[in-house]
Amino acid sequence: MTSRAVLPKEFSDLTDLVEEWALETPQALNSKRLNSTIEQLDSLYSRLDQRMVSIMCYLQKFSVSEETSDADDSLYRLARAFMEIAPAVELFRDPDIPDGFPSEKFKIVL
Amino acid sequence: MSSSSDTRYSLEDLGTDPVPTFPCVDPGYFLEEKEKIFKRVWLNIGHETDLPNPGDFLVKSAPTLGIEVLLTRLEGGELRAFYNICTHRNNKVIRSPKSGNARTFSCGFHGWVFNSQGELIQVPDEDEFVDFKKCSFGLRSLSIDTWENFVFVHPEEAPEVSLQDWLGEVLVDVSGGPLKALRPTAKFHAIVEVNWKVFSDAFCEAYHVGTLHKRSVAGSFISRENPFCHHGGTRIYENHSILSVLGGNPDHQPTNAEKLVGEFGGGSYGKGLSGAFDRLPPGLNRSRHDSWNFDIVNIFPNFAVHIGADFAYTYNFWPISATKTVWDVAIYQEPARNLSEEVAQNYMRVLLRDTLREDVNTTEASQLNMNSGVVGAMPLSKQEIVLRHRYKVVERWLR
Repeated sequence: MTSRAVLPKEFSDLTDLVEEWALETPQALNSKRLNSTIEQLDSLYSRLDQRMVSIMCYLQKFSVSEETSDADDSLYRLARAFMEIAPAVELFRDPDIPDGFPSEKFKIVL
Repeated sequence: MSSSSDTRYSLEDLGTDPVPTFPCVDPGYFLEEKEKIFKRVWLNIGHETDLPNPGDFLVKSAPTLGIEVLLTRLEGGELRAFYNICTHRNNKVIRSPKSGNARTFSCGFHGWVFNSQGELIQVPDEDEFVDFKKCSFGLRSLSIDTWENFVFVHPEEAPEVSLQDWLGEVLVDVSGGPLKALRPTAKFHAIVEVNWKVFSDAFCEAYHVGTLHKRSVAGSFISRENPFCHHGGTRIYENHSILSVLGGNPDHQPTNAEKLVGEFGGGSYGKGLSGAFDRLPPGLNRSRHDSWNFDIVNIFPNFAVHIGADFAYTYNFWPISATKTVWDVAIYQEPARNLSEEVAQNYMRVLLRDTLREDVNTTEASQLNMNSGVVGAMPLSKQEIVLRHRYKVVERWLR
């Protein structure tokens, strides 16, 4: 993980988020969200929210199939983390789904 | 607001009385459904992208039938479907891995080898079998056909009705839309303590959106003009049905995530769509509503595909008892042109997943209460006509 804990230099202020949040799979991201507090998600959200437009403009340069550097890859994964936590922060105000079907019975396959 | 209805069955045909719930709890009723419906119809089992290349194979479960289906793609590109049952002592021919690329399949019990056309090509110590011809012991096959990249099988080797005839007017109304350009981007799975009809009912009307989804999607779906999320039209076929779901509340203040989706191409889910209907076939958004979001296409008995302008998602409901259902969900989106579009598309996957967990939780609660028999029947509104229709269709098949 340490070798991947880098970001393109214009986003280096977000480097401390990489190890915890630049996760590879939707399962890992969802599990991380569900095991966080809303305060932790709020804090991550406010860090990323103000940078998301720049991040998205940066990521627009890359096609989906091309090989990206570890730094670019980490930035892409952080952007996905933003989308994972956005409903929790913006809509539910809860890391989990209030009155939702239990997450342990709802399997993310892909 | 008015909503149009184009139905082969009028409300009069379908009745207006409360619909009894005993078909959702009675084990005997389920056994009849299994024998008289599920063993006699075309069933969606997968998608062409599950096995794109010649030589690809895939084992898929058909839980209601209690079987596994081995799908293979031949050198020429055609698909074949077989029961995953060795014709010797009935072991599973393939245990793991459940997918890959192979020309032959060897049963792990005694080493019988079959090819991707299902022929038995090798039997160890064959001379010990008396009056034995390998050609009589190929894998048992199912019928297979595809529609808009969805792969269907029929448990019978020679069904009376082709897939085309089974889909009938749906095929005419919906083919040629966005489906073929989409590829799977997310899949979910759950085993839910609920009857398959009650489960599917949860996704056949938009009446619940304002209440059940008040935290999630109600804000973007429900407008002042359409406060109860009335549908934008239904089409009720002999077995199947289509219901148009409207969205696109003009007063909705988009969240920051939704703004990113809008700006970077995450697709039209939840936004409604003004114009741009040219590429839609006539049967989708049949009424050409400006605030159309997606159509719910129910292919009887257990497959639903919700189709928007640039996305789709599917549900397969596989009952394994009167009150238990295996559920598979897949989301389909356009190929992302770049990484930011991929990130933006991710929002729909997350939001839909979260919203589904709101939906499914009601179904187990409803089922427990139906099991008690206390209420016994459901009064259904005109907005819930698709539910009423399916109960009638099931009843007709069991007669």
